[in-house]
Amino acid sequence: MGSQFVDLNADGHLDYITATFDGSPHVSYGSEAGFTTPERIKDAEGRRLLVSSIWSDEAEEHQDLGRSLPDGEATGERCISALAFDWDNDGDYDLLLGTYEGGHLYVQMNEGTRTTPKFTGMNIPVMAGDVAFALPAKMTTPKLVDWDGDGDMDLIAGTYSDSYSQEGVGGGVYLALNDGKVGEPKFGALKPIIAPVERGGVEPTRPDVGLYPTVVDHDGDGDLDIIVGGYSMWSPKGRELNAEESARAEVLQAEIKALEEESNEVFAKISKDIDELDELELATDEFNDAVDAIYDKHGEAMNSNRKKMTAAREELEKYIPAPKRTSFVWLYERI
Amino acid sequence: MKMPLIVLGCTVPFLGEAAAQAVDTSAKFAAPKRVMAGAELLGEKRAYPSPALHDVDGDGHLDILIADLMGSVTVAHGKGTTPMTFGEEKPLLGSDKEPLDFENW
Repeated sequence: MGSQFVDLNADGHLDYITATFDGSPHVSYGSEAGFTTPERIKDAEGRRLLVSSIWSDEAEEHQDLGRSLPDGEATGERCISALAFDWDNDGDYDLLLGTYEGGHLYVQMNEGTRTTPKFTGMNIPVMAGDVAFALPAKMTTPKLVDWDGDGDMDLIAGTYSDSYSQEGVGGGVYLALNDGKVGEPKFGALKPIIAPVERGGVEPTRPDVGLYPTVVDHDGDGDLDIIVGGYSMWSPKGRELNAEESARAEVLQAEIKALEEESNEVFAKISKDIDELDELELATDEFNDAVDAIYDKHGEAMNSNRKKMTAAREELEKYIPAPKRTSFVWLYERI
Repeated sequence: MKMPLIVLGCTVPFLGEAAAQAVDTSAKFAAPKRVMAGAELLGEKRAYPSPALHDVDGDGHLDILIADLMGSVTVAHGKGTTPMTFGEEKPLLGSDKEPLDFENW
């Protein structure tokens, strides 16, 4: 959930702009008393802004819509980041919308005024060099910053990579310099400024996945440093075990494996039961009630399994520490 | 065998397939350090912590805000030092004096 503070409606109070995983940009307007209840940003016709995929509160389901893309075709991309930016230098804020899948960036023009924005509802792809802006490892959020000090706004953006695997290359932070001019931005190719690296190690040393960057001169030396939130992943080094401890660890590992298989069997049963429900074409409320009943039926087995698994893992941790995944916020000080 | 690559002012094991482009070596950084909020690690155990800087209390010093996947936002007020240091992390309150919540999930 990237954050930006701009006066979107020119009322003298900074507003809080962001986007959420429901697929739309949101604003919490600033006021004398502070930030007000967040609301979705709408287009000139009163419709929520989006790229393609959204969570619909009304229908209580995910939907994939093509109404905001030039060819009218839904793409499955979900807007999860938003920035206000006066793209055409006409004095009002346009919006940049970033997507999770594919890490694309779109501009949505404001055809209203500073005080009364009227967004078109149509997304125009932003280019990075000769290709569409894209971060295939899934974009967290873009940020606007004059990185090279030439008076126009450049873009930095972070990536997620695979958020859960303990192996493989993690996320990074990328830069696209603006080689255009104020009112006619032209972004160059994306280049890594914090390179993704193979995750791992025995202690946390950097953010590995889900890199959310922001930029500030942290140490007051005149250059820009980067602050990055994200998950670090590491595997603590275990201690030497005696024979008894090694034997106990083996027993616990076997127990955990058996419990995992048992859990998989329960979930397979649940999936099968839900698949059978699908064939009945029930109304939404009826379907949801029936799903709840299925989970209730298997609840005792699931709870029992979970308790045993937790106990076994807690005990195993004393002998063989499990891989860790914990979030922190990191400072990259420029030197 | 993958060789260590010296970039960003510190040794990095190796670049994976995802980093197909050349690293922007015009920017070099010291080895990253975790940011503190008072005596605690900032943003620890938050779901996808996302930092931003903004002078929330209007005292002339930048504060650091952490938003997360759930839609909650905390603020650690800047102490006005150089380099920046921050106080304890607390929920950002809205105009209704309740924690601001974007209901992200």
